[in-house]
Amino acid sequence: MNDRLRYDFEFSWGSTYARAARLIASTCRLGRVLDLGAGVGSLGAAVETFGFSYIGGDLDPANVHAMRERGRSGFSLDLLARDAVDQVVAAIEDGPPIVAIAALDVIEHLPDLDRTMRVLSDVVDRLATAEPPVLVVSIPNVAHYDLAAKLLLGRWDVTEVGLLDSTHITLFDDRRLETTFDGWEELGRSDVVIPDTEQQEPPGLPVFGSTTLSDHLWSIRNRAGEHGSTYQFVRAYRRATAESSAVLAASGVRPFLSVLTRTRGDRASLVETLTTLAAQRDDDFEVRLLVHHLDPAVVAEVEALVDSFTSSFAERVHLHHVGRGGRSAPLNVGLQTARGQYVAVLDDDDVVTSDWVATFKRLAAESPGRIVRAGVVGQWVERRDDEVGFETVSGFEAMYPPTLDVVDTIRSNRSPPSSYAVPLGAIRALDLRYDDSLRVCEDWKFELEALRVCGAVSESTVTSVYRRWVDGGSAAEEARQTWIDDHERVIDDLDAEPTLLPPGSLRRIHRLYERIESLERELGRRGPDDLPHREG
Amino acid sequence: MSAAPGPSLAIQVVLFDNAADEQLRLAQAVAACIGRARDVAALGDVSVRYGDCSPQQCLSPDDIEALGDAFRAATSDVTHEFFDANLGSAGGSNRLASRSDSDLIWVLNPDTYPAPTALAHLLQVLHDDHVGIAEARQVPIEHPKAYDPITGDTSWACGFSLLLWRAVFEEVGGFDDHFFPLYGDDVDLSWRVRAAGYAVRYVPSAVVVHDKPIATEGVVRWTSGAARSSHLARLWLYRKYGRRDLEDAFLAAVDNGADPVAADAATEFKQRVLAGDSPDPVAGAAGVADFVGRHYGPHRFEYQG
Repeated sequence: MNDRLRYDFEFSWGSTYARAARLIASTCRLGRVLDLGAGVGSLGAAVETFGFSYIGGDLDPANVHAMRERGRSGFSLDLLARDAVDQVVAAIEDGPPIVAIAALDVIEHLPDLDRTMRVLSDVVDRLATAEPPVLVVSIPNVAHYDLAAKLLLGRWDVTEVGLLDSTHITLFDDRRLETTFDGWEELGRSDVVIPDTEQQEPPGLPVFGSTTLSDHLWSIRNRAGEHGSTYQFVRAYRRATAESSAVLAASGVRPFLSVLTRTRGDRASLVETLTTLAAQRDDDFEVRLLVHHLDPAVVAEVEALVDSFTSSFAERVHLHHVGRGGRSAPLNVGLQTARGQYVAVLDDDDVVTSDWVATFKRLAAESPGRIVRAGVVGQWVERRDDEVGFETVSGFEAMYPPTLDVVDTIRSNRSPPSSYAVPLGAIRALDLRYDDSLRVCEDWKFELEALRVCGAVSESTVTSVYRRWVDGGSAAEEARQTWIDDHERVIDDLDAEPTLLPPGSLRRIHRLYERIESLERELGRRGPDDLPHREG
Repeated sequence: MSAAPGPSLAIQVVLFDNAADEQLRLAQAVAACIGRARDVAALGDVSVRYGDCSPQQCLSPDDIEALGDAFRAATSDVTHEFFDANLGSAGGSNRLASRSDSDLIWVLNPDTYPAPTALAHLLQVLHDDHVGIAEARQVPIEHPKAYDPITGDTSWACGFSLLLWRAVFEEVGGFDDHFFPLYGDDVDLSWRVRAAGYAVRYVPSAVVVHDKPIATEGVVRWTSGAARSSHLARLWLYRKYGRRDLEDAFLAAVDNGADPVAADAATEFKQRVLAGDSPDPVAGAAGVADFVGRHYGPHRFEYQG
């Protein structure tokens, strides 16, 4: 590159060069390492310690001179030139075979990524002997937490060196890196992790350090992926064979809703659940029917039931056999395979009205990105030892509040799964899933995790009936102490991170305190003069 | 007579301003029912009869053709008739019954959606000659009527989906079109079927979706038109089954109350009775006419509303 002083970094064992050298040593037989955009050849010292020989190419004659002064092979290379590949091939004519090609802190400086990748591919292909050379790259990560946090404060601070080096013109996060190296096989990685970067300036910004805001933003960033602290991606790749580069083509248009239906295949009520889905006025949905049973015969029975429906519905029902795992396992399979814009859970003993999907869809159009929630009523059913397996024994009961609210939900789960749908984008971006280590309350934890980030929009129109079993159903299968323990665990887990509350929540909490104080006065535990605060 | 083995079946749907997509969905569901029923039971020829009571025909020729296509795998005998008059649910069903000579009649509301297994379960129950009507289970608002948990015998069959023998239907004279435009006709038919010595049987495994709006408080919502029809039907049932005591109590309550919808129904009732337009009393039906409080037949539970 053209600024010797800026890029003449000292070698150290934690440096990018050392990481790249170790990747080369672990993935290549001994031979020669070709360094493209070599600067003064700092990588040379690192690879030589592992027994490799070294040759570096750089645009700046001073850098080439410096490499030679240090006793290494150096040549002049303009990666933007039309004949860049020929320049490389000509320079390495003699000597041991090239086993690795390094492009450290190079790609982000070049303007046309497609062309850069073509050059790198061609160089690899032209220099391949019995096996193609390994390509090692290092590239800064612009999805580092520090950059995201500063953008929230309206700051984009370009610096001399670092994450936002003023000469970086092609920017990467891990997803773009993955896309760029589609068709390559990753052999290893040794990313540079730096939580506190040069971007944490000026001091005292509330998005850094141990502030509540920082904790909250970090909780989101951590859920969104593992590279919030990754400063630089250091990766080794090999050109992939046709088989390993096969990519599954994304197919079809995404439906509005993915309905996750858990069944153990032994409830006759499944036919009701499926029929109420088939009867939807809006068919913009798919069903992920999650058969949680070890016996393939049970799966076959469920499959036969699905096939007996009209084909326009049956073809939208995707059957998944989930043999093992707890209550959460099938739902997590559903989350992984869902293709809808939103996801809702409808278990095999619950039923919905014909406008269930249409209501969610309308709410989602009005308030994109929020959890959408419709009214739900409870109805008691009793087990029967007959073909149907249960009998309805009550009318509808207003057991649940008409709206979904974070403050209410903190106390307990007041929204049966059938009453709301969560944007799949949020689920995927924040890696939300049902906690399989919980024996119960897994749906409550999932709901709260999504709710405190997405918020919710509610409509009181009742679109689902949540069946309550007189003998407790699955609730009774777990001991009361289990419920208490897991309830506490959910609170502890969620309380490890800040909770974001929507507008209006402060007033609600304020009123809750007022009510507590009022009740305490009524009970004589608080005197009329015990003010909640003192003036002045 | 039926060419295929097993009893023949006519499926009857009375339309009133129904949407084409709703009818196509129902047709597809019913076609799946027929296929499933033929897999597990003997079922002869099937015909489908649509009758339209709307002021203007609610389905276009293309819509009707699409319904025929939806049934193609199950039957080619699908007809549509624009009545050019509102015959009501009872009158429309009677007219459609006269348009076929099948062994069985399946009366289906146009706003229903049967499970693929529904018809097979209903047929299974009618194999017993003693049974006159088989009633499906309404979902998600299950009817709270009581039934014998062993036999399924019940006071009456809800008309949103009932399967019955034509011979029984004709023996009792079909539906009474005094019940207009809807409600009460199913109670009346059931009680006359029972009075004739047949059982009316509830089939919980035969699932048919038929929903109405549910308010947040769990109340099943009625429109004022539906409430008016319901009040009038009650008065006809009191009159028809000789319960002048209940009729008088209802009318007195209306006179003293503040329910304008009930008052409106009572006014029509009185005018029609004065004009001699009231149904004939049913002889020998005292034992089947179960008026239990404000319900017909005993109930297992109650919905608000």
